Amino acid sequence: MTIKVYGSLMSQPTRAIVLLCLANKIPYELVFVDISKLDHKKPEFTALNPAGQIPVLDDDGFILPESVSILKYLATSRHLPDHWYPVDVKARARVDYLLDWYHTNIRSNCYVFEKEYSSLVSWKMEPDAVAIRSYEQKMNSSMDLVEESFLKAEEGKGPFLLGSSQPSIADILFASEYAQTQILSQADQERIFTGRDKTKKWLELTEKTLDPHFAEVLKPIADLSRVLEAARNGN
Amino acid sequence: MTLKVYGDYVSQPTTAVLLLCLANKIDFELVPVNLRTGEHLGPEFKAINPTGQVPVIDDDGFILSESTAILRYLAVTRNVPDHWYPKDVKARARIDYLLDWYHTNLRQIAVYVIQKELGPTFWKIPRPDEAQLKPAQGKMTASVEILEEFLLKPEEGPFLLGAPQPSIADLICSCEYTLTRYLPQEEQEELLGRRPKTKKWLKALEKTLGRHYSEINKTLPELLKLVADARSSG
Repeated sequence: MTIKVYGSLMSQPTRAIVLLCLANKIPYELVFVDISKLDHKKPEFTALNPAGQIPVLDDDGFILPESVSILKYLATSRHLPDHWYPVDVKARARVDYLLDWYHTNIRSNCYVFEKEYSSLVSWKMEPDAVAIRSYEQKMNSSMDLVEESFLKAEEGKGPFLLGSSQPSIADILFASEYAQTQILSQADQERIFTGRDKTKKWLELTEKTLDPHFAEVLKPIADLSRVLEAARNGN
Repeated sequence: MTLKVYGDYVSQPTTAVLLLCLANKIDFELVPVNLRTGEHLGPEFKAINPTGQVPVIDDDGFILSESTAILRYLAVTRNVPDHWYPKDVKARARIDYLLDWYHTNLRQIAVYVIQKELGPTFWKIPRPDEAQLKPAQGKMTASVEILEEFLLKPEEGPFLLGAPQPSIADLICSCEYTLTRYLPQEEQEELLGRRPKTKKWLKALEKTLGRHYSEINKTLPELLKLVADARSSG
């Protein structure tokens, strides 16, 4: 049976799962959960995930929330090439570390969400300036760590996260997260990536490795980005 | 070489790692990193872990941080009994889900307790008012409610998701609940009073791992007193 992925391509973790499926030809069906309309808080959805969060996987009746678990489960159960989630204990521990660190760190969507499109959702929130500053600080320190400690191509190691020679599910998840910054203004994006050359290089390489799927999966974000940029320019 | 665990008893994720070691007779050396004096932010510790967070392990030169990554790594490398981190793909996915949910949801207990009690006591952070605490309190309560309503199935088994034996998820989640002891008695009652399944689950773990919990919580009485004293002196 084709797996069902409940989520939205506007959501970074959902995108990561779809990317893994596309890159490995795993047939899937994306069941759209519209978070702007609070679908994720409705009983039909919380029956699948009581935490009311996307994405959720339905693998022939086996229900699994939490994107990181889903990525690991798909890599293992579909016997994907080892580099996605290595069997070697230490290599795997390094990927586990990145995926755990991700939860409380690089998850910078809050900054992007709060700044750019919280007012577009049906909850009609006003952007919270205090929250935006706090999220921005957090986002910056996380991005600094990625740039300064997680990318080791210049030390003669591999070009992917933690010096790996091939991408893992951590590279997909992190790249998907960074891609959300495309919603920000050109000026904001430039500011974020100034002084983060290693990050830019790694992102370009990861996107290239996953193309044409990366561009395909980013289409809703690219569309929203154009709309917001037009609005900023007063069009 | 004996496993080194860099950490502090006040850090619940550190205690979860120690608990796994104690329960499985994994030899370790605890290298204290004093969070209260800010040792974790100093250059010596940051050289070991640039994020400045505990716990970190040094397994004969292999450095690993993030408690849940450490728990998985130790479960696998030390060949502990399967129930701690099952090999079966679906059983393992369920544990992975709980460990992720802990990061994104249950860890809100720490966010709240640190904001309300530990920050002001140990790091002289100004005491937040009720309005400032509301977001963290809401998230914490929602997580505690989810565990009570959906993640415990006592009719199937006494541990998380109805398992007959504990997993590393039970360790990290139960250690998180220990943080609630820093709250005033009425607040603890409010949080756990109407959650009988949670209380039963914590008791089941206490029964299975009793003396190990005592070991990891040995500095708790002193810390609780410091927090209570700070609270009463305003």
